[in-house]
Amino acid sequence: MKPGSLSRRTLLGALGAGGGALVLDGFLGLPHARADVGDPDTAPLLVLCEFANGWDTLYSLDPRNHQAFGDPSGGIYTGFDMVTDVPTKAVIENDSGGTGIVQPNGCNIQFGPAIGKLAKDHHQDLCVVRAMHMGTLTHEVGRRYFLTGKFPRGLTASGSSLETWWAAASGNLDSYQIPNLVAGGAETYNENLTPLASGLRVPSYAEMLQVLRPLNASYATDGKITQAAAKFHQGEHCVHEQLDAGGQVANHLSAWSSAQSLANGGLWKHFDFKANPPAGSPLESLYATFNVNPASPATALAGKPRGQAALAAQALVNGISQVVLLRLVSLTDAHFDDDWPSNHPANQRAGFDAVSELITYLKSTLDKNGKPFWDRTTLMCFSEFARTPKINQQGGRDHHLASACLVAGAGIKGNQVIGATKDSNYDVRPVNLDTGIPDDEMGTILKPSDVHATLLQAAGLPFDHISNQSPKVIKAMLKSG
Amino acid sequence: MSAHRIAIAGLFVLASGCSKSESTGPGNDTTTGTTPEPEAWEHPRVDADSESGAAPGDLGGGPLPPPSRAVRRMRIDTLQAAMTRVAGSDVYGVPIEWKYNGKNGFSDGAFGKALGRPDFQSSTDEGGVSSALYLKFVGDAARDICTQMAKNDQLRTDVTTRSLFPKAPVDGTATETQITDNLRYLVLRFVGLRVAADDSMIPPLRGVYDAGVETAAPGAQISAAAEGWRGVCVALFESPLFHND
Repeated sequence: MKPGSLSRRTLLGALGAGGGALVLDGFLGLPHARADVGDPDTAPLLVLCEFANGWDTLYSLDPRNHQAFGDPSGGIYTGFDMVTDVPTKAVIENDSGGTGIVQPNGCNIQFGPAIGKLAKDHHQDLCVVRAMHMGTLTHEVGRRYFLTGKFPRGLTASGSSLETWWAAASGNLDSYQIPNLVAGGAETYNENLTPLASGLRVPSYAEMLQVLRPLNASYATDGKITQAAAKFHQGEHCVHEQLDAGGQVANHLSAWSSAQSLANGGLWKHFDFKANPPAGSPLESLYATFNVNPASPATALAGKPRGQAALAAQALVNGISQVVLLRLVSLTDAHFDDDWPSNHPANQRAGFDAVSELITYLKSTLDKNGKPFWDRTTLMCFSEFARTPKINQQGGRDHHLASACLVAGAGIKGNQVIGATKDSNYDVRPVNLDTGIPDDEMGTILKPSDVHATLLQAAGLPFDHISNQSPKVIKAMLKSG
Repeated sequence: MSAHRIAIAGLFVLASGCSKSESTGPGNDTTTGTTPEPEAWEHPRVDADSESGAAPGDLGGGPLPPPSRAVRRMRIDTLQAAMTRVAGSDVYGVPIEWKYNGKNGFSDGAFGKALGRPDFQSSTDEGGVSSALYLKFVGDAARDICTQMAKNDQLRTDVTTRSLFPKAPVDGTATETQITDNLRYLVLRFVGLRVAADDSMIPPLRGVYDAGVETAAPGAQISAAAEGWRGVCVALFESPLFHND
């Protein structure tokens, strides 16, 4: 029982696919979105951060001045005078002079009181898209709509999620051990793309240690056994042929080779957030950026948005993943007064602070070309929908169609707002796609597919997978115009 | 007969896509042309009234109809039950199961959620395809269970009660025929297929067995031959044939 070691390519070789993913894809009969010809050192990276359960955008991305919208009987009521979360209350009452608006010097964006560090440190990079029509008030539908850019079939997702398409379309699948990493319980979808692009789902960094090494090393089998098993699995047995009509066997074998590669490599070390790392080590730098006490890292990371962001950071800068989808925060579904004034803004703040630290880390960490990873990273924060502009009878807010998202990174023009909601009732307003300014006469109602298409265009990737949604590129979001 | 074995048997009926019929579902033996009695560990046949006895096919119902849906990966509950069923019991009669930190590895307290079992709060759907994460943990489960099976079999003096190598001794005296017979037995036990000695599955499985024998660590708890059978056990648990439902 000597533990063996196998590289992914060795296993592909054992499977008779030594040429890598391109050859394996032929074997599988499933398409890459594009030929696997990308350069991993210049590949576009993607981080998607889900704020689950529907966020109150008045707290963050689409706020109103409490001094103008502080009347409970008005069409929009900020409710900032009801907030009990201490840090948020401090911003409302002290830092913002009672308005609840956060707008650092030089920042063209007005943020709500749950965004602090992110606005201060990175407003130049941030683009807020407001007044996106989500078309649903159902959690699952909104979530899956934003993930895929295609409106679900009932509750069932339609199409592949954005990060899966991104990984498949950029042509670098064979360069990453886990091309598509999905953490925190986020959902991921792959419809008719190569299984190599499918998301590997892990709850958190702690489980990465269990995924990336044998649970019991004393039970490991030798590499020669694994290679012999690969030949058995790959054999052209009649029953394989009969079962593979739907691609089940091919998919299974692809996933099996990935699993062997994962479990027998040394990747787990990147996610072993141990105490007191050596001075000058990358882990020490990570802790410093993420404000983690080196003596007790679990206190700051375990079960926290910061831990998910650190997981993403390690996966990206160590070349393990090209795309990362995080359920960064599970917000409270803030229908009631025991959540909305307290936990909801606190959780949003924790999420946006973690995003800020992730951006800082990617800006300060250089890739093989000596350039910051951030230079080729695209980031998007989203939720399934927003919250009603008026407080309900239970002291919380219900579901609302007009949502917002936060976008930043490569090819995206920062320090700007696209679109706006109405001051009368927080409803969506059409937008001029060239300027980003509301245009109630000739503008376009924004949809998630428009944002997807724009991000993909900014990264130089196709978006024909959502062509049936008639996506429109929001030119105002692009640096190139 | 479990659902996935029925599916495989049904698919065998549809063998038009293959040039030759090498493997059969339970009930027929291509080596003798007879219908052998089920092995003792096999699930008893159940008729339409849930009484043990003859299967509908034996009552003149003809061959099973083909499956009406695409083959998919078995669910976690089915996987747990199937692996436990195949593993059998230890020498004390206690079912062998995947253990992690004192818990069943498939339980929600261990890796059930990571494997994708829905909790019907935050998730209601269960994946129908194999993922790398699924197969990584399947590999962990297989290695744990197969090690237990090998260790317990070595303790059994009555070879007929062994679950992993009842047809071949593991003291280095096994003949070629005994090894082949045991491979055929394991294919039947794990994936429900009766295969002939010259079936195309046998040579690569023999390769797995030989690799295990070759790489067995001297002085290990189980013998070199038992390590070979442990390797075959892991390979069969990880085979796509085991996971189709």
